[in-house]
Amino acid sequence: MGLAPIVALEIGTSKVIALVGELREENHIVITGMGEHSSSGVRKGEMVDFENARICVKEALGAAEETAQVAIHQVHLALCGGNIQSLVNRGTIPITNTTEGVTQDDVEQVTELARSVTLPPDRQILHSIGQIFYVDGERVARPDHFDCSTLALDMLLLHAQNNHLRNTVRLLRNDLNIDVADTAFGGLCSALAVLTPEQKEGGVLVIDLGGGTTTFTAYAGGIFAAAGAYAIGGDHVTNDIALAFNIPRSQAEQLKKTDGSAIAETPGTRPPRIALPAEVGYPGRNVSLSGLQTVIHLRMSEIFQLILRDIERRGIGHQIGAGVVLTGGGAQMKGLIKLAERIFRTPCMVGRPMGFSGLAAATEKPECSTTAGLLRYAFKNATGGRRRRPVLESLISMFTGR
Amino acid sequence: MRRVDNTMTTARISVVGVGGGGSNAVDSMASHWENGPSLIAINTDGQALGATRVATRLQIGEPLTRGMGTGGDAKIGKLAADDSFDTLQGLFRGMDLVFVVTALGGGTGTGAAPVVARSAHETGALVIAFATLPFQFEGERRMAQARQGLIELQDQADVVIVIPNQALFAAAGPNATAGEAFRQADYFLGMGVFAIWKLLTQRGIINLDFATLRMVARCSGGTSVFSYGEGKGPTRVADAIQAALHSPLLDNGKALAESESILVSILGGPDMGVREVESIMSAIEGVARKEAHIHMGTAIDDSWQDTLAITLVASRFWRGEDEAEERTLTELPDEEDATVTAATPKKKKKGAATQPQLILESISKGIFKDVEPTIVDGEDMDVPTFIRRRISVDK
Repeated sequence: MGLAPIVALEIGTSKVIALVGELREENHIVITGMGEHSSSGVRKGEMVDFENARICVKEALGAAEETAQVAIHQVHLALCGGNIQSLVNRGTIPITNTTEGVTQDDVEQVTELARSVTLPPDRQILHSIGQIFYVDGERVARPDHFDCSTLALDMLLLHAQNNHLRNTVRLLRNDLNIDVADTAFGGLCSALAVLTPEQKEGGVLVIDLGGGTTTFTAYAGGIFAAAGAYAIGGDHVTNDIALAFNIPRSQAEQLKKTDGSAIAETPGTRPPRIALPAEVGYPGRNVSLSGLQTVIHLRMSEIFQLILRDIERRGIGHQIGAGVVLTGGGAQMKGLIKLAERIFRTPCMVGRPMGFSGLAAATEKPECSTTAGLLRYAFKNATGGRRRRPVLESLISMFTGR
Repeated sequence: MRRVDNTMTTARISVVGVGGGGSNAVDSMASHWENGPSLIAINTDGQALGATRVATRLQIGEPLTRGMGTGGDAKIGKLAADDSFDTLQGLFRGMDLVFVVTALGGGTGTGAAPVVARSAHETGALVIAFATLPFQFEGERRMAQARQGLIELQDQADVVIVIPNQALFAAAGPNATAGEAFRQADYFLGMGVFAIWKLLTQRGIINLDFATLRMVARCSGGTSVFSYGEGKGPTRVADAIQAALHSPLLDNGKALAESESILVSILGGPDMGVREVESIMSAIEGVARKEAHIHMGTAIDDSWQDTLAITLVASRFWRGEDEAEERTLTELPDEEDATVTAATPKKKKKGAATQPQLILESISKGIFKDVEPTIVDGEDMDVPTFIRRRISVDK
């Protein structure tokens, strides 16, 4: 295809991940390079300490350059801040041309109208995605040539706070000499990486559990129906554990990974208490397994409830027939699938990047869903084949610049 | 100026059922009581409201729901009640005591009841809420919604008496149907209100006046548990004691042993003797803690010949009128059982209600203390969930 490799970068709360991908036949993506570095200076998906963040990004990009044997000057950036929200806006125009019906001009006009909402000055549109057209109130996928008196379009608009975005772009450009080619909502990217078209058609909810934020993306009837983010993530679980047992964060993190579970295990399968070694300033002690699980269970079920309430409020709670897909680093928590099934009352699974080859590390891990999906998003836009087609078909489209 | 009356017969009382469950309970009260307190039913569902026999009916949120109910969404229930706030205040003006009866878990009960409680409280009435928590078969979502509602209700009412329906189910036996279980819940709600109302309005051997009730209400912890037992014939005292003290609602009596405050109401016919009252009280004192504040009152109803009923309201916390707000976590066995014995410290109900966040101010947020807080629906999500839900964790 002759397309240059693309670099996807996610500056996450717990990890910075950079993936280098190349596009092969039939839209297959080969991951040729990968760099990851534990993150510092990032809280809740947003940079708070620029110097530390800069070092982490530099390390991750350096590692990616090395494995892929390329020099990186430009990246696509995934945005996962908890401030990202979505809304549906309907634009309606009258159709006066009775000879031709709905024309391409009309479609463009209604698209423009549906996209124009007034946001507070500190927010900007990240994505505007057409959902469904209405000709005289009837839902249609493509309105072309319909004879009707009104044409309407529902547009899903994702918007984000612009100061965080500007800070990140500035850091990359000024301090690392890296250009940001495009940005995309991390939750949308994850969905692109882990979902099949059948799942999107059947209705599916993707929850990406990150270190500092949890994002969600919902499809109903093949339409990108809703998206959002909460600044609550794995760090909260760790913090809860540290506060519950009065232990250092590092131990809490370890405890979460080795013994944590989102639901109570059957008693008797494991010793009821877990021994913790002594650490500077903290004597060695042991903690209750059931206590640990209670702390995690409460936090995780709260996150799921928030998302459930969110999608129910948008009226798509009952449209996720194909279930819930959990992805992101937090998806590996024991018992999480069961908990999700209990709360959403639908089949749940862990989603990993699909349709990628190359570095196994990147294609197998749920924490790489966002960056892998960002590659897919970027290549889709770069090949551009779908961009000029009617709005609905290019589900992902139209990034309106800064 | 609001007239404060401490004599029993003149305290003005109204009982308001909020939502489907609450209205049903009040409806069944309406059919059983003569010359009872003024009854009010509030619901978003116009059809359900029309079916009740309660004299005063208020439909809320009509423009919001088109009279169709909330579809289980507490947010809508809350909005509906907010819209009618002035009307609600009008209903409660001049009342000394308002019982807010609700079944938590649904949209109207969960969302509107805290608003109703606040409106009553702001008119100066003492607010006692009776709230049921959903049965397990109603699903985890309703339970979670109910818990959230309970926390909000605690902030608005002087006392919240919690009745976990699941415990009633356990008591009803393995073959009880859902319909029976709901009716049982309505009956218990009704008797709880009835017992306190009788105490205040009927002359008895030992009187409990409104001032005492108000003191008990304001000094005991926010969530209380409640039990009811009745007996007939020669063994009535023993039967009533057995039923009330070993009720599944009190965790088979365990909750009583852990309570700081117990309110006892004994209802009987004209034939009730002082001996009977004595033996009931000594049975209660036998299981209660030595330091527990026990307040009792009796009421005599001519129609209760040969019958006796004991109602207990037990709270885990007690503080003097001036004592500072307690902030300790309560000790609860685990999430499921928490609902049975939930008893939480609560701030004084003076002046306007404070935001729920403020209660938690003193609790550490760990690594999140210097970053922009994550606030969702007024809750600070950086504070661990177990702390916000007041659930104790095995250490």
